[in-house]
Amino acid sequence: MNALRQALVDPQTAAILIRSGAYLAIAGDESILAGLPNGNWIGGTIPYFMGQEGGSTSREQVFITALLAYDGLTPAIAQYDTEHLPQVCVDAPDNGFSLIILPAFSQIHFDYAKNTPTYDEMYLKPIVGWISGIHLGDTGICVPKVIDGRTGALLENQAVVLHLPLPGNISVNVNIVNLFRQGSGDVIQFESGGFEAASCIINGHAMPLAQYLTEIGHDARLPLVADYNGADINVSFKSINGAEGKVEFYGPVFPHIEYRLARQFDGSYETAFAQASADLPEASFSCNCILNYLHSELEGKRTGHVVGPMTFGEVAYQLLNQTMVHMTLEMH
Amino acid sequence: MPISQSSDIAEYLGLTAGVLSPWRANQYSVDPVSTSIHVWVTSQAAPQPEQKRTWFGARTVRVVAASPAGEVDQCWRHLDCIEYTCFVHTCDPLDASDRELPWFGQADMPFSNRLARQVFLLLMEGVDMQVICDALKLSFADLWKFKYALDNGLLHFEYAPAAHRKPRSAFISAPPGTATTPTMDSVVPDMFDPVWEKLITGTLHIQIKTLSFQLLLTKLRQQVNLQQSADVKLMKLRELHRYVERHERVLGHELSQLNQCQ
Repeated sequence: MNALRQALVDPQTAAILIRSGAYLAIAGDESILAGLPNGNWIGGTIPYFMGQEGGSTSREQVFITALLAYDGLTPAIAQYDTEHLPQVCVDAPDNGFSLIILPAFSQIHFDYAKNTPTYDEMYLKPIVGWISGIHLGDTGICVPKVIDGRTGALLENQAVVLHLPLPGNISVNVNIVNLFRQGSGDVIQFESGGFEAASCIINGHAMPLAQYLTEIGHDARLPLVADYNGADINVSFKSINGAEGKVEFYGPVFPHIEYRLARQFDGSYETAFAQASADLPEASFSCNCILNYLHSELEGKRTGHVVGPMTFGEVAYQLLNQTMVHMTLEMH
Repeated sequence: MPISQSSDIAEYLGLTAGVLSPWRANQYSVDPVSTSIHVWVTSQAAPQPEQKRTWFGARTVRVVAASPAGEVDQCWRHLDCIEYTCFVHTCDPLDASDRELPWFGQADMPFSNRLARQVFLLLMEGVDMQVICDALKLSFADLWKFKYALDNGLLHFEYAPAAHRKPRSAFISAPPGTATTPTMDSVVPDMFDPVWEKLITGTLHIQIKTLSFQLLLTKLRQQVNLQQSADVKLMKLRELHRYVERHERVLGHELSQLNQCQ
């Protein structure tokens, strides 16, 4: 059902929508977001999009997701700091969903990534969203932010959330499209979780991870993949530093999870993606990963009918990497 | 918030907090704004009353021992004292056996052992965390920290359901909502059906298409696998059953497989 609408638009159009009282999630460059009027919206900084016309890097346009509020069911916008984030799902409506945006590389990003499985009501109530970022040319100049549209406050270490209640006859389906599959290589485990690792356990034997990846000549664009009872969940490589013996990730690895390196991907990403998403219903919330955008050179290319911001991390309950998140509403 | 050293009142507060000899309360503070009481407990011997000569003759003076310099003030939320929330502090160094005393708590944990035990029982009975917070006036962050420690095997408690009580279905604690209320047509196996234990321990494998179910089951299997205690397993079974009941209308594929395995 067409309860959500998404599009890449100019700031003037976004401003009109905001002034109409619509509930919105907005992705865009910081300078544009800061100039939008106050209203019922949350946002995050990112200049990469999969728009109606294809992949686009833009500091002039914003990507809006309009969320339909139902009669008698008022959405709520909330900010969360690291102390209160564990109750984000408790605050969510009994029937509905939550859309969360977190700033990349902040403490709250790391906390969410590491601890979501332990949050009360997690997996019971749908939560989707994304991690804000920056233009890669701005590295070292500015930092990712989120914005609370009610006040225009730009936040570097808080999450903004839009809780949207739905009528009882509508349910939420959260899906992911991940083109990466576990390869048939070694089983890799970690003794402790986190965004970086020095050592790991390869087929039961401890070994420096950077050394292992260097020795096998691993293509760092291929993530680690774990099988979560049928769901392939990626952890992407940020850097492999052989000299320091350290490997950094874009998401956390977890202990007691069996990872394998992803199988080599054949063919073009946009074609494979279009095929994988062909059967997905339209008019839903979605986002995709900046790494897919960059590694697959999606500028100017379309990935089927699915649009959305290309982000520094995706949220489908927990933090994901190199994965498209797709949410649909189903009427019963 | 000024700290008072009236030894009589401190002793009474220590008594209500359940503090037993050789431990004793030697300082306290009462904050009527936040309606909280803070009681400092020590095992240092009470100073002997000294006879001192004053301008008006001899009188008894009670000397209050100072807290050990440089010691860290540890604090735990304890059971309430009527309308006031109660916190127990100590500046004494604690060994492992001291930490088992009811009025103290574990390192880096927010609750005293006595309160932790109560919270644990409520969690085991399937009471929602938000309800526990409201009922016991706990901060959600503290309760989450406590549950995180439970989930990860950092805390251990014994749990024995009362013999006279019939097993309760998990749906009793499910929040209100359209998908949570069991109906006569429900096809969700009972909470105590063995199929759940088989599923959560990994001896039963079914094809799962729903992302949230895939992620939740991965987490629960991991937690049950890491901690073999019956208490943890029961808590996780309740969490699993509650999820399936709540999402029954979208889990037709998974439920048909579970019902075939009964």
